[in-house]
This record gives sequence, C-alpha cells and structure tokens, in this order.
Amino acid sequence: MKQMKHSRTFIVTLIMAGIFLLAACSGQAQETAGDTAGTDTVLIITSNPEGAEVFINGEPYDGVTPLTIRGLSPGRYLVEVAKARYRKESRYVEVKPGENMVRFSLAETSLYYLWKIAPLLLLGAVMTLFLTIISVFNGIVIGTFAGMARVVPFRLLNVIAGAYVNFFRGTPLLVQIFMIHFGLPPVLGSLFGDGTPIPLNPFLSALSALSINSGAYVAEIIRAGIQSIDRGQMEAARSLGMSYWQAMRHIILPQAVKRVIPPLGNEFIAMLKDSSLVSVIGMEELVRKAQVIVTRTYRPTETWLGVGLVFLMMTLPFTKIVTELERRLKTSD
Amino acid sequence: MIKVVNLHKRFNSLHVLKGITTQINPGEVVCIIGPSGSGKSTFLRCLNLLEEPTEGEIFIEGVKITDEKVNINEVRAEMGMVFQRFNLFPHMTALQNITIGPVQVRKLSQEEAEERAYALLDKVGLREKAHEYPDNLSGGQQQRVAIARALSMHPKAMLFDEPTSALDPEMIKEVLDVMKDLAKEGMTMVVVSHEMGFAREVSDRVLFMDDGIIVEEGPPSQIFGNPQNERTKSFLSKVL
Repeated sequence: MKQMKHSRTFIVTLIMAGIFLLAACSGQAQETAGDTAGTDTVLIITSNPEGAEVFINGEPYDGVTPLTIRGLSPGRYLVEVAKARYRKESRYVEVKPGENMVRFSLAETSLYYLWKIAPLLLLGAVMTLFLTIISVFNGIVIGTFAGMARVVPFRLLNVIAGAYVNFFRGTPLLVQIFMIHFGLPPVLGSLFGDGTPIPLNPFLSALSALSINSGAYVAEIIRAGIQSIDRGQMEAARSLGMSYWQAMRHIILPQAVKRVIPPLGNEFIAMLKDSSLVSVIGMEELVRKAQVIVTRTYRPTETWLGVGLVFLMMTLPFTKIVTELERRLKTSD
Repeated sequence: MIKVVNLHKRFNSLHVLKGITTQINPGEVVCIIGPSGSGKSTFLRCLNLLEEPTEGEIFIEGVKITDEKVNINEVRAEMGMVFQRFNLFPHMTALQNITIGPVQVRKLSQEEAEERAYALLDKVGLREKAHEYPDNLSGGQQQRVAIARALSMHPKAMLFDEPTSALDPEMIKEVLDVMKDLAKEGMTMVVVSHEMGFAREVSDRVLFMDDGIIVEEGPPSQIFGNPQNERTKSFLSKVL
C-alpha cells in the first residue's frame, strides 16, 4: 500500500517534468524560427501527380504541389498531401536549415485505379471474346461432324470420333495448349523443315487448342442431342422408306438442334472462362493483360478483382440469354 | 402376299421369336393376339425390318426381303407402319407429317403430295387439323394422322403395332373406325392388338402367339368361340 502510493507520486512527477520540458523546447524552437525567418530554411514539396493540396501539421496550407515553403523554422513537421481520386499521404519531415525536399508519389484510390486500367482490361476482354467466339464457332463445326460420327452406324467413324472426344475431354486444356504450342514445333520441323523446330505464334496455338478442345465438348452435346430424340422418330421415318440420312436430315437433326442450343450456350460460357489458360503461352488476352499490368503497378488486389468483374460482365448476360432460351424452348417443345 | 418361313429373333441371349411360319394373303386382315412378351410386336417389326431377323426368311410379293441385296428402304415404303405411341414428327404440322414421305421418298411434288394428304385427312376426318402440330392434337387425332401418314405412301400392306394401347378409352373407337374402313376397302392389314372386339369383328384370321411361337391360328369364330389349345383358352379367359 505504502509502496504503491510512492510509485504513483513518482509517475505524476515524471509526467509533469515531461510537459515542462516539452513546453521549454517548443518555446526555444519558436525563438530560433524567429531568428532565422526569411533566411535559408526552405521546404519543397512535390508530388506525382502534381496539384495536390498540402497540409502542414494538419493545417491546410495555401497552394498546391509543387510547392515551395519558405520561412519555416527547422523542426519536425507532419506533411500531408491530398488530391481528389488519390490516396492521401502523410509523412513526418525533419526540416533542417537550408533546402529540404519531400517527394510524394500518390497512389490512385482503388476505384480510380480500376477506372484507369479499365481500357486495358477491356482491350484484353475483346481479345478473350474474339478468341472464344472463333474457337466455339470452330468447335461447333468440328463437334457437329464428330458428334454425328459417334452416332452413325459406321464402326470406324464411331471409334475415331470416340477417341478424339475422350482424349480432349479427358486431358487438361492447359496440357493441350502446351502440346500444341511447345510439343508441335519440333514435329513440324522434322516433317516440313530441316529438323529445327518451327515455332508457332501464340495466337495460332491458342486458337487451335481452344477450337479442338471445344470441338470435343460440342461433339458430346451434339451426340446427346441426337440421342435424346425418341427412337420412335427414327423408326417412323425409316418405316416411311426414308434412308438413314434422309431421316437424320429431315426428322432427327431439326429436333436435335433445338435441344442443343442451350448447352451450346453453356459451352460458350465455359470456353470464355477457360480461354484464360492461353495466357500461359503469352497470348495477350484478358488475364495476360492483367499480369502485365500488375508487374507495372504492383496492385494485384484491384487488378484481379477488375479481371473478375470484366469476366462477370461477359458471362452474366450470356447466362441470362441461355436461361431465357431454355425457358422458351421448353414451352415450345 | 407376305410369307414368313421359320422366323427367329434373338436379342443377345433372349430368344424372342422361335420359328414363326405363316402367310398373309392380299386383302386379308390378320390380328395377332397374345400375352405381353410373347413376341407379337417383334414379329410385326420384323415384317418391315425394323428388327433384323436372326434367322428365317420373309417374302413380300415373292421378293425375299431378308436378302442382304434387297433395298430396305424400298421394302419399307411398301409397308405402312402405325405405332403404339404414334411417333408423329413433332416439328411438323399434321399436313407436313403426311407429305414428307411422298415428297422425300416417292419424289412427288409438294402440290401432289398435299393433294394426296388432304384426301387422306378427309378420310380420317381431320382436314380442319391440317395445320396443327401434333402437340395440339388429342391422342386419337394423332393416331389418325399417323394412319394417314402411313397411307400416304400407298403401301401394299399396313402394320399396326398396338395402335390403341396408348389411347384413352373414349378415343379408341375413332381409331378403330378408321381401321375398319381400311379393312372394308380391302387393305391388307396385320394388327397387333389387345382389342378383342376388333379382332373378332373385323379380322379374317387371328393368330394367337405365346412364348415366341404361333400357338393357334384360325378364323375369329374358331379362336374366340372354340379355342383348341390350352394356352389360348387360358389367355382368352383372362382377357374376355
């Protein structure tokens, strides 16, 4: 009890001494400032970008960066710069007699940063969309043949198409991209050149890999579409004397097309997302663009969030369209 | 007109038809009755090669259709088939269902085919439904359109595979009436049916099938009035 009382008194004394000392110091500082005013203490505040408002010790200062402040007394100051759409920055500056320089590099606010990189991302998105559209289109052409080849009564065609579909659905798309971009050049070289690998340009590799991959998935969609048509339809057509191909063309395929449209829409959405994998071979689509941006700005959080949003902007409308198509086709079926 | 000799059909290990031999004469109406699983439908489907016979021979007007050299499509064009579940083409109107065969197979012009189709729709009493899609027709109407579709090929014989089994009771009569008219016109008909009334009234001959063979055949008066075989008796006692 006694000891505690003693220690409390000690602390109080210490604090009071501190306050006294501080007051004495600042009094002295003001004095020196008054002494050297207008002589040689200069504080130059610059910022990138320029035009930021300046606050010294929390008080707004008249003028914007780049700003030269004269007549400050040496000492420690809290310098703050603020500019609309940029993050506020503050720093303690030890102002010494003579010329003092402070440089601020302002970071954009997240929103403004996103706004600034949006054009680049959208450019990437256009490439992604372009790649996807061409690939799925090729995929539909390949897949229609492959899908029909799986159902026609020709054993050899069934086997070939089955092998194609199983291979490209059963291996990762990334591996397929590597096989084409890195695996094919030596083969091409020994077949058509002097043995040195013939490099493929990333666009060509990307497009081939995506098209062939998409073709395998579309083939399954087409096969399922054809097989979903009741057997009785083929029997009724054949019993009228139609050939297999006539029945396919006039009876089965027109009905299958309707059922195939919604899953094809889903394939398009899947391909839109999977096409991001071609970034690994340097194809400048949305994801690759983002990687490049991040290495320049060091702002992965907003950049990748932005990429996600751009993908969402593309997939959501298509999802809506597919849902609507499914609804309409169901009612007319 | 149709001659079947020792017809066998196996589905893998399942022996469905175990040697069918019979003959169907021009203008004859033959009803095939029997318990389910007895092979009636399979037999009928063999007649236009929707099922490929495993063994045996089928002759239509002297042509051996089980021969591999025979053009199956030509054979089928001569045999009209009516299915239990109608199997109309849902993406086509009633009229289009009836014209597609003649246009695609017989190479008739669209106008000729439509003229023929309207006449057939009149015959089955559905001219006003010419431009309806199958989904908008009742079961009975769909089956009548299906009969018209089969007739559009001017077949030499008509095969009916349980044509009324999928119909509501009140619609059965309209389909049977169409079939009776056909019979009266002298169409050769083979009908797999559970409609004993129709078999008794319209058919010239009844085949009773059980377990892949024809157990008993004869005029309806004999089969229904005085069946000889025990299996026939027991079947009829259950269904009549």
